[in-house]
Amino acid sequence: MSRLNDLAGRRRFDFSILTDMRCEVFDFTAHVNVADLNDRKHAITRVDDAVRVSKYRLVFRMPTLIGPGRFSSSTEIGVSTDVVDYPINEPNTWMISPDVPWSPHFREGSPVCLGNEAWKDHRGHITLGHLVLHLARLLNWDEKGRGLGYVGWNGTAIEYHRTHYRGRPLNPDIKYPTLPSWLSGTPDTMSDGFEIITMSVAWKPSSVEWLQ
Amino acid sequence: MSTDKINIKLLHPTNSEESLTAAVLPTATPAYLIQQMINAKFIPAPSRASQYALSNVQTGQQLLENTTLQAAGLGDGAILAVHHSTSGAARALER
Repeated sequence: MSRLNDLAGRRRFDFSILTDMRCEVFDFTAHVNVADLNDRKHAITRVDDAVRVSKYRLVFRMPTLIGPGRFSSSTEIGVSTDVVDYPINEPNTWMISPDVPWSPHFREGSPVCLGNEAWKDHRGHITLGHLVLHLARLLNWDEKGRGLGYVGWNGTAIEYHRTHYRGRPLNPDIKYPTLPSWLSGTPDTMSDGFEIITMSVAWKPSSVEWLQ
Repeated sequence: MSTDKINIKLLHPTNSEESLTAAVLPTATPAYLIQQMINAKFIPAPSRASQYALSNVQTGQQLLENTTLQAAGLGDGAILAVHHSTSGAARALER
């Protein structure tokens, strides 16, 4: 199979995954170019047309910090899969929302700091669906400790979160989007067959840092 | 086929302080549960040279990856340990 066919298949694959992940907290629009994305025009809605899609507007309808004690109820992030050797290399990301999340992973004018563990370490065995899950958790501050010395792009925000949330997610009850069951070969009858009741993850300030 | 969910507790492979309690269908398989734990970021995705398995804490018996909980005789309140293993050949290759 040619690389062109590989890319077309991959684009349809990513589009199908995101389509099946739409939920209360996540939505998206798909576009052929950035101009259409910016103008919110000509959104691609059919998987057959997704071979031309390389730009996504990801919409997260969940509260996230945009300053000390200040929240935004929705965050929009742009994604472009037009990168060399995608999906080996991570897609480009950028902030669309005017309010940039107050977080060590977000900064105005910069791509989202995903960390190697979120994409690069998977060596291409990863989809845009996984990226959506990762971004949702970053927005909810739902990740393991990265060590006391970690400041990322915003040490003040880390300190604020540590003081006010003690390392816990902003909203521990949020229902994240889920990867479609067909991705893991799960029969349809298993959909929604895994409901997390509690997840205790030890908060370890000295735990292994898993950002580069 | 029973559609009533059962509560199970999953123990993290490397940190005994970490656990995940979930309501699942009795028809869930270890392969499915492992994928769900990865989705929930309770455990990281395995590398190409490693894999996860589940065992019944009470009996120590490892579960076959495509056997349902029901078929393995597990019901409400079951506690399962998650194990992570890396193949020896892969370790050698990584050196």
